[in-house]
Amino acid sequence: MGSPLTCPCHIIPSSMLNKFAQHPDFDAKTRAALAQSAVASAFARGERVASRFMAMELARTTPNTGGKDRLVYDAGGKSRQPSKPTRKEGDPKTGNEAVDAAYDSTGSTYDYYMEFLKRNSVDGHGLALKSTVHSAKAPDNAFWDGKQMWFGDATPNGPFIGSFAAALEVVAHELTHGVTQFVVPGGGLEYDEESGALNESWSDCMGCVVKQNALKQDVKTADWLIGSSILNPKYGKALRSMKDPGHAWEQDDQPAVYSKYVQGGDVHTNSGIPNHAFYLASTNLGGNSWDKAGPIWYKALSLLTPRASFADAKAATIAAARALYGDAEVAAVADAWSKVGV
Amino acid sequence: MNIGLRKHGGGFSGKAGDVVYEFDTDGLPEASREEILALVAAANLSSRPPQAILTQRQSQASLYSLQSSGTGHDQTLEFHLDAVDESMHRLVEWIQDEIKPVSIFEPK
Repeated sequence: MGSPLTCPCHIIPSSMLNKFAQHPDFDAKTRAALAQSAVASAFARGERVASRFMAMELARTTPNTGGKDRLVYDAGGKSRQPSKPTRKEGDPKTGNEAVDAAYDSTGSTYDYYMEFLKRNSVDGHGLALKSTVHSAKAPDNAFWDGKQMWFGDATPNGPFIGSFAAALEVVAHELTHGVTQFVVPGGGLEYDEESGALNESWSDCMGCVVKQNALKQDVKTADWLIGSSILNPKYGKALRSMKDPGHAWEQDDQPAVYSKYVQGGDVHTNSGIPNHAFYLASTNLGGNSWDKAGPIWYKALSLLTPRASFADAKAATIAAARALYGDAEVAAVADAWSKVGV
Repeated sequence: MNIGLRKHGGGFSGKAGDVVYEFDTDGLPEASREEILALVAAANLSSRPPQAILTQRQSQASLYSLQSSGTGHDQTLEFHLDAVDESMHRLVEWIQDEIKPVSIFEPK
């Protein structure tokens, strides 16, 4: 059978395209193209939750590219992503600071996941790492949209400075949202209440680990700060502190212990509790955060469910510590969660 | 017509990344004014429910508040982008592309 359904238009419903993508009469290349069209169609129709699952299915059925595959686009202060990347895998530096920073930081994050966790990209199968910088969709922000990363620039006279792509832990944080989406059975952690705080926290934790690994800082010499290079110093030292939640900047409202959990609070507020548990576990374990704490937290992700609670996260990290190491590590992790009141 | 769009939370920054876009369509160059008024008309704001909020939130989704006034029908709409149609997407995108955002945070 030929390949009649690969046009980029979105007239054909994504559900139909997805059925064709699994049809045995099409060859693998055509099925992959159809699946890609199904995802694009779902996005165009606003079927974001459905498209998230379809993107995962696409990743599952798309052949492994075999390695790092970075694509960085420059939106030039507009919302839409241009059709051609400014820099792709293997290209030399462009001189565009945000583009080169996103390229290098996604590379460092990919390398960390591959070297220490044996994970080939976000989906585990070499999914291309797409980033768009200078995006009007993310002023004073950065986000993962279910398929790729978007990085904005600081607004004039706001609390931030420069491009969000310039901070390694921000890039690693965003990329880890993608990992969470693929690793947690059921499509990731729901983005509210405790599961949402865990979603944010896991990204902060792995962001810290990737940054510390790049800087070769052990748990004692690391600053445990998130977003220190993008916050204007007159507002504080960083956006979040894993070591001292609630005291990173002047409007930091993160609690460090479960008794201070904010019901209905922002996921970036309540993430202070599991963030601090990760800091305490890392210092209990000693050495480098990427030696044991990172692998334990990464393995625990696969043991969570979309509505996981902090208690579930404690149980998952303890189970992961037991599976990977031994009694001393289990005790170190359990003690950390107990200290934050979970 | 006065338009205000506030983007709440989401993303890496959470509420620290809240930004607002505020403008009076009368203060825009003619071509831009015609463009935004056409987008507002296409979005048919007055027919919309005050809230279009996702119950199952996608990771990092931002909540938007759109205020419009000065046309005899003042209103505020709250929505997630994933919960509204393409005409609202185009309106939000135009504002994000053409109007300079302002952070809501002032140093103490």
